[in-house]
Amino acid sequence: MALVLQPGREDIRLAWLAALATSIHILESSLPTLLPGIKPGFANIITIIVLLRFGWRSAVWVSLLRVTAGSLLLGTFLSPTFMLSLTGAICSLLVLGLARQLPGRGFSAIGLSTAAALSHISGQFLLAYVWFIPHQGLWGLLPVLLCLALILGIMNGIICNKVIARLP
Amino acid sequence: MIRIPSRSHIALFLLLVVVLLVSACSKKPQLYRGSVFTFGTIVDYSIASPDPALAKRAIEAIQQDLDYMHVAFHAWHPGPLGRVNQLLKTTAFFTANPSVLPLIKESRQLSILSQGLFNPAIGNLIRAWGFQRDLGPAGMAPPDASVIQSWLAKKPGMTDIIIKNIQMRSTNPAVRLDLGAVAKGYAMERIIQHLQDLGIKNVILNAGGDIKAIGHHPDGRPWYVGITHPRQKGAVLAGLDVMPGESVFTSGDYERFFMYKGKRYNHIIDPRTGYPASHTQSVTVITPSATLADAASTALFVAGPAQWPAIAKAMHIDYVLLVDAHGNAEATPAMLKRLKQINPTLKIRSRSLP
Amino acid sequence: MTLADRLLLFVSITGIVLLAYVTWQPSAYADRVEIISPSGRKIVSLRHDKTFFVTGALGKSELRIKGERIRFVTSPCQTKFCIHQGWASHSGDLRVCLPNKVSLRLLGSSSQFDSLTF
Repeated sequence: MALVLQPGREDIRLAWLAALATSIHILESSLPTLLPGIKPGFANIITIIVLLRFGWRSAVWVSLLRVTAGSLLLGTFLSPTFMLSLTGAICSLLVLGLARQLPGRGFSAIGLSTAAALSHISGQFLLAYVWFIPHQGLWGLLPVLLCLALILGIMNGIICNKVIARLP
Repeated sequence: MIRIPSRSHIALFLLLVVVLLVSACSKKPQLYRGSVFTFGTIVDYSIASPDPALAKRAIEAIQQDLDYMHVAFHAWHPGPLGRVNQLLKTTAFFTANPSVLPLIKESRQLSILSQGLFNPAIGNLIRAWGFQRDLGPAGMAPPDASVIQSWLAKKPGMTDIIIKNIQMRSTNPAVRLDLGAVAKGYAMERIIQHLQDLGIKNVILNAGGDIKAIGHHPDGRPWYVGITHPRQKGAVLAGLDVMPGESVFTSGDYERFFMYKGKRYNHIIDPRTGYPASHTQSVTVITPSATLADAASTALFVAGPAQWPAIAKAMHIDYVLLVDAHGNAEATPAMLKRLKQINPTLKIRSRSLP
Repeated sequence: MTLADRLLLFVSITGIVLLAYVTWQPSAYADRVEIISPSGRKIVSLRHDKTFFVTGALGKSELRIKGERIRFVTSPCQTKFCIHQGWASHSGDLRVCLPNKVSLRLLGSSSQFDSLTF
C-alpha cells in the first residue's frame, strides 16, 4: 500500500514560512559579520511574526525547520555550529513560550524579539562554555554578547512592527 | 702627509657612534622574578637590574641572610633566641646575643607604642595554644581555661625586660619571647638594606604575603600590589601603588588557624584576654619601616574595629584597611584615597584617626 | 513599546551592567602552575590532565593536574600536610611541602599585580 501524505493548509503555510526564514538565514550568512559568530539574526523576525500571528507551536515549527534546513543547505548539519544554532533556537523558543503567558498587553514584538535574542545568546554561551571552552576567562565575554543581543533584538523588533503594519 | 677621511668614512663613523650610544641607552633593566624557600615560608622577589650577575648575587643574599635570621629568631627551635629565653627565665642579667638584641630592643619600643597589643613576651601563651609547632592544624584544640587564667595572672610584658647596653634581664620569669609577629618585618628591612648595599635600586619582596619595595617597576611606574580578600579565594579587596621604600603588611585570620568544634581559632592571640583576637578578618597597613608594619598589623588586628584608629595613631600609622569579623571594611581617609580597583562587593567605611 | 517591554529593557540593561562588573574583576583564573623544587623552577600548564613526579629534598612528591586544578597526591614528608591541603585552583593559591622543599603556586594568565599581600 502506498504511503500518501496529505499536506493540510496549515502544513503548507508553515512550510512556506519556514522556507522564507531559511532563505533569509542563508542570505544573511553570506554577509560579512562585524564580529565572529554574531549575526543580526534577521530570520528571527519571521519567528516573531509567526508567533504573533499563528501562535507558539507554529513558531516552534518554523524556527526548528529553519535551523535544520539552513544547516543542511550550508553544510553545517550536526556540526558544532549546528549545535549552537539549535541550542540558541530552543532556548529562545522556551522563553518566547513563557513570554506569551504574560497577562494583559504583555510584550510587543520589540520585547519578544529582545527576550528571544537574549535567551538565544545565553543558551549558546552556556553550551560553548560547558562543551567547547570551559575557561573562566570566557565569562568576561558574556556582558559584551548580551549587550549586542539586546541591541540587535530591539532592532529586529522594530523591523517586525514595520513588517506587521504592512501585512493584510 | 695627513689623510683626511672621506665623507663616506666620516658618515660611517658617526653612524657607529650613534648606534653605540643608542644601544647603551636602551639597556633597560631586566626583571628577575622568582621564589626562594626561607624563613619558614616562600619569599617572592622581583629584582630589576641591568646586570644578571648582580641579580644573581642579590638572590643569593636573600636566601642566605634569611636562612641565618630564621635560625637566629626562631621561637622554638634551638638558637640565639632560644638561649635568650632560657636566660630570661633566670631573671638575672646576661649578655644578649648581638644577632637578636637589636630586634628585641625595637620590639620593646613597638610593644609600648602599641599599648601592649603587640606583645612578643607571650611565648608561653602561644605555646599553650599549640602554635609553636611544625605540624599542621590537625588535632589542635584550645587549651584549658585554667591554663589561660594562670598565664594572664602572671602578666608577662615587654616592660618586664630591662636592657642596659648589651646586657638584659627580665623581672618576670613568665616572659618568653616569640618574635613571630615582628621578625619577618625586621628581616625584610635588613634584606632590603643588603640589596641596596649591593647596588640594587628597584626590587619588590614578598615574604609570605608581606611586602616591601624600593624604587619602581622597570617600566617606570610604581610597583602595583593587590590585597587578597580574606574570604574569597583569588579575589582582591583592592590594588594600590607602592611608593619607593614602603612596606605593605597584612595580618589575617586565615594565615594560621585551626578549627575546633566548628569554631575558628587563629594564631594572633590577644594578650589581654589570652584568646585569639576574633573581631577581625584581616588588616593591612602601609608604612616605610617593615618592622613597624609587621608589629602594627598584629596590634591593629588585635585592636579590631573597636580600637584600631587609636592604636594606629599611637603607632604613627596613616594607612590602614581593616575588615572586621562580619566582613565590613573600614579605612583611614588617606588609605581610601590610595586604593584602586576596589572590589565592587566591598563597601569601605572611612574612619579618621583621632 | 509596552510596559512589559520597558521593564524587560530596564532589567536587561541593569543585569548586563552588573554582570560586567562581576566578570571584569581582577582575575582569579589560573592556567599555569609554578613549581619550585631543589631541581629548579618550572612552569607547567594546567590545561592538560596529568600525573607526574617532582624530586625534592627528601624524595619524590607526586602531583596531579585534573580539571585545571592541582594537588599533592603523595609526598615523602612525615605530616602529609601538603596532601591534606587539597586541590588548588585559583591564581595565587599555594600548596607547599616544606620538608621536601616543593612548592606549587598557581599563576593567572594576566596578573595586573606585581605582588599580592595576604
